[in-house]
Amino acid sequence: MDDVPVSPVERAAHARGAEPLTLAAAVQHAKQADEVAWNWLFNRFYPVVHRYASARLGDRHVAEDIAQEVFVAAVKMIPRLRSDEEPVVEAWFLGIARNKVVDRYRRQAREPFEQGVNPLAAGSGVADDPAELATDRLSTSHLHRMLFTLTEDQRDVLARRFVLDQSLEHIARSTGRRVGAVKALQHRGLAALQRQLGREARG
Amino acid sequence: MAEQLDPRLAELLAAWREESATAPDAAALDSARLAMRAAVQEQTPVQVWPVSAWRDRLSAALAGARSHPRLVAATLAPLAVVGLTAAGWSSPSGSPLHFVELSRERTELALPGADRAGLELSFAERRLRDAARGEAPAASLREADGLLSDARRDLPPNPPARLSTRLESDVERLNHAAQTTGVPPPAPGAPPTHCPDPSGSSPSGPGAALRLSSPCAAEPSPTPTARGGSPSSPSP
Repeated sequence: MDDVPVSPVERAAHARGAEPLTLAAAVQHAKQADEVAWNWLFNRFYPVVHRYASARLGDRHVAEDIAQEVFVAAVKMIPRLRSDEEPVVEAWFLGIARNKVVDRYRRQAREPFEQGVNPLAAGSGVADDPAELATDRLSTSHLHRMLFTLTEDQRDVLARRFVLDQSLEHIARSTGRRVGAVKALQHRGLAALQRQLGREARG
Repeated sequence: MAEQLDPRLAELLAAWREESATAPDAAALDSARLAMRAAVQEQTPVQVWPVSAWRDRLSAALAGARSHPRLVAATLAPLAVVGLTAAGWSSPSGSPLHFVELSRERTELALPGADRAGLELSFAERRLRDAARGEAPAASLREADGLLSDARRDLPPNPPARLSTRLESDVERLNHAAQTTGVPPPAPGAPPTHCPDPSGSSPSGPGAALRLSSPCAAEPSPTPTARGGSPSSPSP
């Protein structure tokens, strides 16, 4: 496959030498089930999808499963993608990832014995030792348990804001909300987390 | 992020960010890539044939046609006849396929028991509509003239009022159209497209107002019309 170009994208890539493909060309050829184009999209968006899933689920390995599911689903759904602009395509992948995460939460709710996804289930055995408790309170698993008490929209906004480093405007465009609404979701989420921390500090 | 965060919360968020940035296993990455490729291969791509593919297919089709000429002719001939008939079914005067419409009208008129006068009025009205739409107005009006003349000739001895009224109305429309479109009368010496029936109605009767073609009052007998030259004869 490296010797003989087999697809328009690959031919174009060969013709241009080392020049990278454009996102628009990759999206266009991905719609024609072009493997090279899909490989290009994978390299470009897998890291952000995996990072988002990891942030939402708190488990790197489950996040790997989710990221794989996202790209398999994306192959089937790409005819519905109407734009080839970077923010739109990224938002599209993250939207699929978000749905997969929510599906995983729901599945976890039906299968209470599975560990590693539902932070409440995973943290059912809270440490009794004060030193262990203090360590736990600074761990991300503790944060995930607290996040699980927020709404889905609040969790989504906090993950995009504090893990993916997206601006309020970027999140607003990606999620189809107004900037003020995104800001309110962030504010309420952070306030809820701070209240929980305050209660734990007092208790 | 301008909000003042509790230091412990800020620390948790920083840890969250750092932990989420952990790269996936190489094996997981490969597995995801393979799963995606399998999904891509299952997809049926939309076929976009390059020009060379079209050329190859066309060459193959032509080669097949050359080896079976009779089969190709037997297939194409009926299709051509049907296509020609469909295309020319209502072709206006002056169009290359107008002969199809003329043939159809002749066939309708030749059918036993046909209401010749009514049919000719209908045909004439269609020509008037064509002329009003600007489709070869001169030819359309000339044919309408001939058809109205034929219709007047084919009227039964005591025509129903609806036919007489219709004929008068069509003659008026014809004259009006001829005036508004400025269609000149046929050149002197040209065969008249119609002739009023000398034994027929009074000068004020149907057909008396026909002015488009050359006057035929002096002509002793009916003359062929512009529609193929069928001699005027009483309808059965």
